[in-house]
This record gives sequence, structure tokens and C-alpha cells, in this order.
Amino acid sequence: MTTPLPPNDHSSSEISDTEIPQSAVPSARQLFEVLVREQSGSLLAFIRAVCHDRSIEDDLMQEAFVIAWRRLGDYDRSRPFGPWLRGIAARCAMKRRRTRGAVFVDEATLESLTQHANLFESSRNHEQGERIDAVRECVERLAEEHRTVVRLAYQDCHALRSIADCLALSEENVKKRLQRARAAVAKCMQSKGLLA
Amino acid sequence: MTSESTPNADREPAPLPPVVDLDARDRFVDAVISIALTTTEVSRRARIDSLLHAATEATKHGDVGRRSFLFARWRWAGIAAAAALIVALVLWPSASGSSDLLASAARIETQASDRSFDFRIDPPPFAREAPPLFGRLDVRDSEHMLLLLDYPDGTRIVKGRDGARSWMRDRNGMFDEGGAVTWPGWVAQEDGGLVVDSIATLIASIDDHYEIEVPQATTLPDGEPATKIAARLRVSADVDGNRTARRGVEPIEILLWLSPSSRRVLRAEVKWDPPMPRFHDMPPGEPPARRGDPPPHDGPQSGGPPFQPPHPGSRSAGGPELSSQPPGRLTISLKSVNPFRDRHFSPENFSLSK
Repeated sequence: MTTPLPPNDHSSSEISDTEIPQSAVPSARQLFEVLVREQSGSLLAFIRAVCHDRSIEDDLMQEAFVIAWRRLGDYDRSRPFGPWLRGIAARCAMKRRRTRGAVFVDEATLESLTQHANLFESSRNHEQGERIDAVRECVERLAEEHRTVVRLAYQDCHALRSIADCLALSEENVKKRLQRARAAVAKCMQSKGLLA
Repeated sequence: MTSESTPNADREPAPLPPVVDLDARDRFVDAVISIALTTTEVSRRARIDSLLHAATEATKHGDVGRRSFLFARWRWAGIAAAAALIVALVLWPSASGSSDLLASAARIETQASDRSFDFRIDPPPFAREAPPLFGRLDVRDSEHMLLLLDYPDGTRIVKGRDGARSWMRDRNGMFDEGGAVTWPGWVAQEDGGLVVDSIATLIASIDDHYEIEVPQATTLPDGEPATKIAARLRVSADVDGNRTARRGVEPIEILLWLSPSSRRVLRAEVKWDPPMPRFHDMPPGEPPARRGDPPPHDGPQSGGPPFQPPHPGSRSAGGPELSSQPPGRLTISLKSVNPFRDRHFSPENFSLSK
């Protein structure tokens, strides 16, 4: 008897239950570990897009994964794990918004972000883990003046003012370059099937 | 497999660019760029460990009561999941103290070809009165390089490798070739490999023994924008509280200025703190150094040759001046990346005058 692998599995082949030695059967904990490793990057991207606050994103991630761990039995394995996990994270974010007054996105934006995240993860052209590398490639392809501001802003985490001083530009000019750079990266991602 | 990374992700959360006026699509792109450029392998692993720890705690408190059910449900995925775990453990790079910023700079430098650097050598602290030396280093690969070292009295040493031979013209204009040509320790290692043929080597030396500071946006003296990274050797001590032998052997400080656009290393400063040579290692009656002497680079530690300060005005064959011991500080600036001519590294190509 053969069984199809789950959507998030690394292998693309089918495996036979009869070929699985008992010693090789992983615990739920091991399987959860695989899912955490697979999903932590894309979940972080989603949470960062939602809350845009690095001081609370780790808390939200932890909350989402612990709930997923607790409710793993409820997960419908015929469906992808990522959207289910992001659904949990979205509810955690909204709950935090209501109870602690945190300023996140509104529900319409949240829904839209969820769709973008789902498309990003379901891209058939890239294996798990290659998508972030594909985004890096898009950044590499930027014109130098755009790549410079992107790296100073995102990688080196400088404030707009600091970048403006460093490059002898106005803050408005830096903002514009960032905006154009994001648009160019978005276009590149779109061409790779990573963005609608 | 994702190799997420960034210099700042392991430290205090840094502010993100403002997104108040972004729509959902731009906001998502903004987040993905940020993740792509700001998560280190170290922080990614730390985050995963933290998440798994949280799950463990939840289990301990009895929050997960359906493990046997889960076990049965997931059983069929056993081989693939175990394989995924093994692949993850084998292929994911081990945690290192260097950031992705440094890693990407190392990648760039590894791919680099013809480069020309200006350099400056400052003497170690115990010979502070000795003047700095200035020179140029042209590098194509470990078999093609050229070193010009200018002395305060107007003389110059030129050393080269042209693919077929190692050669040298000393301060007296004498030509030598073959095994007698030695290179300073900060240029070539004993096995002939180059230390600064690629800045990648320097970057690779920045390991967990170094504290890496948050990169800073800055400009070089010529106005070019650069990202500055400082790595400082952590002070280590043995059980008796004595500093360990790393001092003097490894740089105590490495400063790098990277191009924000290309990630190339535009400038590097490497600082050592070699201990003062022991008095009985010196020739009788010789002080460690005098004004006007080249900086003494020999020292007694690490099995190196005994300290031999050069005689004032001496024009030796270039041995003591270019010995294998580190100076106090080495500053290298990238001057050009233009291709050299075919015979650039040949001795016939160089005169002795500046």
C-alpha cells in the first residue's frame, strides 16, 4: 500500500508503510519540529507584515506555534499546514489588537496579507526555503542606487535620517528610492510567481 | 534550504522602515525583503529552538493530550520526516559568530580577481616611535601578486610572484629569485597561501571569539558611503586569570568598511597587540626600536624567530622587515579592481624608484 506524502513534506515520491521500520517512525514532537523548521520563516514574514514591530513578533510566533502544537490533532492533513498556521497567527494578532490596543492592520488588510502569504508559499517554482533566496536575488538585481538604500534600511537597519545623511540626500528622496526599490522587488517577485 | 541572516537580528530589535502609507501588497513585500536581508542563520536557529522549547513547556504542563493519536496519524510520514530532519542537521550550516553581511562580503571577495590595495603598516605598541611604512599590494590570485614596500629613507622593496617564480628586489637593488624570497606573515603563510589575497580569509577569521558590533552607516575619507563593521577579540583568560595565548597571535580588532551596494570590502583595519619581546631575546645592547627604524615585526612568541631589531640605516635583504610576526596595525584600502596587464607581475616590469 502506498500513501501520498503530506503537502509540506520534503520528498516528492511516495513511500510504503510496510517499508517503515518502527525505529524510524518519528514522534509527534519530531514531526512538529519539521513543521516548525519549515514554517518559521514564512510565518515570521506574515507576522512582520501584520504587526511591523520586531519587539512583539517573536511573542506572536511563539503563541501561534504553541496553539498549533496543542491543536495539531484538529489539523486537516489534506490541506496545507501553512495557511492553517497563519490563520492561528492572524487570530492571535487580532486578539492582541483588541486586548492590548496594539496598532496592527485592519481586517481587510489582514485578509489581503493572508492571501499574499498563501500565494508566496504555494509558489510551485520554488522549494521550501528557496523563496527567501529568490527575494534576495530580486534585491541583488536592483539598480545600485536602490540596492544601496535597501541594504542600509533593511539589512543594516538605519533610520531614514541616517541614510539621508550618509548618502547626502533628503529624507524624502530616500523614501522615494525605497518606494521604487520595493516596486522593483515586487515586480521581480511577481515574475517568479511569488506575488500576485 | 533557507540561509536567512542579518547582522542585527541577533541583537536588540532594530526599527523597520515606516509602512504606514503602504497597501497590503507593498506591506508584504516590505516584510519579505526585511526577512530576506535581516535574519541570520544563528537567529533563525535560536528562534526555532525557542519555539520548540515553548512547545516542550506546553507538553510538560499537560496541554497536549493527544500524542498517541498524533503518532498514529503521522506515522505514514515517518521516513520522509526523519530524512528531512537528517538533511536539516547535515546541510544547515553550523552557527557561526559572523553575520550574513560578513558572509556575503566573503563570497564577493572569494570571487574577486585583479585588485590593487594601498596599505599602511604601523608598528606594535612597544615600538611606537618607529615610523609607519606604506606600500601597495597587487593581487590576482595566490600565484600572481606584487608587493611594494616603501621605506622612510626613500628605498623600496619589491616582491612578486608571476605564476612561474617568486622574486624580489631588495632595498639595495639586488635581485633574488626562488626559495630565498620570503613574504611577510600578513601577506603569505608558511605554506605559500596568501593571507590577504582574498579578504575572505580575513573575514573567515572573524569567529565566535570576536564580538561583532552593529554595522554603522558611514563615509570613507573620499566621501564614498560605506557600512562599517567592527569585530573585537573577546578577552579570554585561563583559570588563574591570565590572558590566554590568543593575544599577539590573532588580531584584537578587525574593522571593515563595506560598499553598501556591492558588498566589496573597501577598507580594512587589522590591529594586533603583540607582547613586548623579552629582553633576553634581543641582541645585546639593542633597544626594541628607534625613531627612523622600520617597525620590528619579529617576536619570540608562537615559535617565531627571536626579535632582531634592524640596525639604523641597514639595508638587509628584506628578512627582518618582512618577517612573519604581526605589526601593530595593518590598514588596507581598495584602490582599483581594473585588470592588470599580462606581465604586470614580472620583475622586469618594475624599477626601484618610487
